[in-house]
Amino acid sequence: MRIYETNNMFFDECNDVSFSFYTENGYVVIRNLIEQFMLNTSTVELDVLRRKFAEEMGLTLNEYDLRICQWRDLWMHNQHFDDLLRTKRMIHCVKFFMEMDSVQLLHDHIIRKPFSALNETLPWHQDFPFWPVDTPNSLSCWVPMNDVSDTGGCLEVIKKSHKWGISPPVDFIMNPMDFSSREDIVRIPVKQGDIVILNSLTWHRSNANEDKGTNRPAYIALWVPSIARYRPDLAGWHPVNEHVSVEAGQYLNEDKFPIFGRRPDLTDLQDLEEEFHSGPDQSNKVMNMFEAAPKIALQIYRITGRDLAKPIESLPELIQDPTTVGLIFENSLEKGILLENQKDWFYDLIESMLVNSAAFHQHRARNIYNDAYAQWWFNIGSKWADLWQSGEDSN
Amino acid sequence: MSNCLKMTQEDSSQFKSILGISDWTPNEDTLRTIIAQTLRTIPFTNIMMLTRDRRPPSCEEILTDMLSMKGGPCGHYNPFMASFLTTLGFDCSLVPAWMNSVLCHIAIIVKLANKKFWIDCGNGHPYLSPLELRDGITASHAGLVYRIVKCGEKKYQLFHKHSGQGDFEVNYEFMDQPVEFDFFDQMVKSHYMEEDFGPFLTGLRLIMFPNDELFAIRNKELLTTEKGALKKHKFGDLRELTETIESKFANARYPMDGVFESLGWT
Repeated sequence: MRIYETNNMFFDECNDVSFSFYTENGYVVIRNLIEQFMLNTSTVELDVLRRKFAEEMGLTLNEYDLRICQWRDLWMHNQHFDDLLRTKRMIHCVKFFMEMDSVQLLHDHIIRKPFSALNETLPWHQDFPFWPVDTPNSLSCWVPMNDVSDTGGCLEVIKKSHKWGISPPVDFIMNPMDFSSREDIVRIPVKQGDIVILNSLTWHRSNANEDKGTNRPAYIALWVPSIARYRPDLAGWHPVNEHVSVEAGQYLNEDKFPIFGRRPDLTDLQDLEEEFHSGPDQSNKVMNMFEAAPKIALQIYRITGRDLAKPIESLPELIQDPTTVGLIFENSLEKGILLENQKDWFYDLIESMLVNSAAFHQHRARNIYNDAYAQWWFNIGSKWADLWQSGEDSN
Repeated sequence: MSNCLKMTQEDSSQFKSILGISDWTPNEDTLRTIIAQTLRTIPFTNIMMLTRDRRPPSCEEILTDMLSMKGGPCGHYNPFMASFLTTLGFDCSLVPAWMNSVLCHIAIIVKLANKKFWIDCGNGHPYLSPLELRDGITASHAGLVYRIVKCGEKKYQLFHKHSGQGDFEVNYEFMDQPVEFDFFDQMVKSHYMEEDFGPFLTGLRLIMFPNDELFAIRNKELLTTEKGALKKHKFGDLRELTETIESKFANARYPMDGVFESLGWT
């Protein structure tokens, strides 16, 4: 088994030494920054939210936990998480490490990685390429609600990788990056109360949680300078776009992107045409992570022989219809793409896609690993795509 | 309250007959009487933790232990009490409590009219009086003075002070946020399976409050209070300890040999 380097540098405060470590390595851990009761309360609030959401979706908590592991925009709907976000020491850290007097929240979320439920590796990525803003001088705060050991689904980073520059956003389904053979990977175990500050260009991931009985809930807040301007051309597909009420090139609206510290009056604006990165890889016309739902909807249209000239229904609309689902199965069976004994698996997959879609629609919650979409693609979608490409099926 | 520990009306009737109270109207006086009578009758103990396999108890085992007057730790006592009170028409919730920031305890919040009350029958020194959930409310019981201090939106601290001793000290923190019983699954597992998670796998605890005074066995020592003043007596041998338990807790019929074996006491 691979032995990883484990971070052993912890800092008690924001000062020259911790700043120097951060600028050199692309991450830093500040110890005992958040009051423990605040984090204990967070686990309770998350428990209450999960139960409420599961009930609203007609699922048991176990069923829900097997399908959903990420919740977004918590500060907007829950007083406790709004309080957590506004923790003065955290805001101070954000400003300090960003070297800005005024910072703005892009969004917050929780990712839970229970040993006994949804528990996978989140692939390597940089954060900035996923954000529709023009300032890579940004960072995230990774706040564990409980202790996280080096085998408990902790953050892993590639040291100094924030100096590599900006890559296009990683497609977790179609083109996950593999850095596993590198020797500069550092695991970052943390204690409750610690906070990891992560440069938005640092390559990172979190591994599966191997610690029995733990759930690894982490609250994550993503921050940009308040002078960041909206660039939908960089990441127009990202869910955060739904909260933007300004035009491209303008500062983000404060109602959904709260500002801490007065935004400076700028005279020297950056070039709004700066490319930063080339955007999502869309070389595969049939599937990509960024447009997975509409791409799968389109595939279903073709599989079921629907009229492609008509407006395409959304994926949930399509797979709510038992006739359509039955037709997908029958047609896939006929082409040898699915086998009769895969029927239960197939219907479970459809159910998972429906749950994911409903969870996002109702609660801004989802399966962050895109399991259902990936399974669809690798077991059904890609085989149909091969068939269409070979011309054996002309639909 | 909804959790796996739902009592049937039959279970509830059985426990009512054990307590033998005449008025069950859900109000503050009844609540106080039920708590006092329960603490007089059902021990707080870790005995069944020691004598069963090291695994969390099933809900059926918890019900059986409590209805057979064996009692149990907080994971038995407070969920049971919340279920029982619910059958009587009280509006009860389980709430989480932390000692030194570790989730390790269950308390109960009872809503009565427009007031909320904290109750806790399942601590090593259970509390006779419900306390209204307000800042600075204080009560005393068998030599222990206890006080609730509000220190956040939903955050409270429970302070202890023993009669004649120094300042109040925090015993635990709790949150006024109802949770389901299975929220505590991991905590209960730790209590039952990890020797360094609290004192319950490495020592003996047996506590009751006949006449509202303490009668407790803590390892090989007997602790009692008289008008709140603490007395201690060291048992000469295991036989004296066993005889004391058999005479004072005759109804429970504890498997003491299993207890001693589990603790390595010979």
